[in-house]
Amino acid sequence: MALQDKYKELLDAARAAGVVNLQVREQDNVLYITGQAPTGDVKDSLWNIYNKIDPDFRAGDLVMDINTADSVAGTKATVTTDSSNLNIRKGPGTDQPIVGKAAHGSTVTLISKTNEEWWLVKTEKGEEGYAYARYLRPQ
Amino acid sequence: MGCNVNAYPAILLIHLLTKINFMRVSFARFAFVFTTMAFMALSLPSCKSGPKDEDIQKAVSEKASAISTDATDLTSTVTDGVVTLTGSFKDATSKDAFETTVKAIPGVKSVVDNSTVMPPPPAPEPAPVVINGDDVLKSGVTDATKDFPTVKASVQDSIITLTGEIKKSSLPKLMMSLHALKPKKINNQLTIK
Repeated sequence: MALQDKYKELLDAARAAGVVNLQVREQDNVLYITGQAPTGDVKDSLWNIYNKIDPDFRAGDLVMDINTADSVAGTKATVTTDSSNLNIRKGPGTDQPIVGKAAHGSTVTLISKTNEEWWLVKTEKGEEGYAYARYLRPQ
Repeated sequence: MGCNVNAYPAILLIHLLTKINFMRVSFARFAFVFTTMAFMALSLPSCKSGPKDEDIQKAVSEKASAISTDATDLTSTVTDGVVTLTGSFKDATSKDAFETTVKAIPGVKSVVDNSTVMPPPPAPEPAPVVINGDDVLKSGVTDATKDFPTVKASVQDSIITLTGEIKKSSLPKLMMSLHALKPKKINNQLTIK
């Protein structure tokens, strides 16, 4: 329970922000938080609180797997790379060949989610392939 | 109450005083009347015409059986219209509701509610934490660290250990990706630039 006290602000914020299927479990001195945030902003704000409670994520006592709510096919997402193009790949993995590029700031259309890391998308130019979800923010 | 129990002693007293003052009765007659009055006063409680305790008891028992799923070991005793309840209810709402129900039974003067509320049942065991194996984690870690060439990552027993360097602004991005891989733990030994 001590970890739930440490991360109380985070848990309270997750509940207040309407994170669904929120599960909080403690096992072997690690707290596991899972759930779906309604928006990317909510996810970011939770990570900000996490970073505040445990600066630079050093403690290693929390695994926070908060994804954004299951987006339906057809959802538009913005490419949020730092400045470069986002690789569109043939399959879900960085070992897969690149079949296209999505420009920084451009919009892609979600076709399906293979998993939380890799989403099948279609670029503005009509290229279809897998993109790394870190660089996609559902609109 | 259909029978006004308080009126009788007063009427008798007036009757008695009238006799003493105006008919000059003997002490023996006074004693007789007084005894009669005392006897009647003693017998007055039986003059009640409202429901008897047994009737109330029966009504309470009927109400109790109607809510038997809300309470355990529910007992009631009735003495002179006062109902005493014991037992334990599943929650405060059902406890209060039953007390209200009992109070509404005709003839019930008051309710002494000694019943308790059961502690809530323990929360169901949460689903076990999902932790991915090393193969899944290694492949995911490769993807997650690809854009951070100065970060070195190793996976052992589902624990990800990070060494090397990273820019402070990039750290949350990397962490979000790594946490989503469902590792057991992340040891962050990165040097933050």
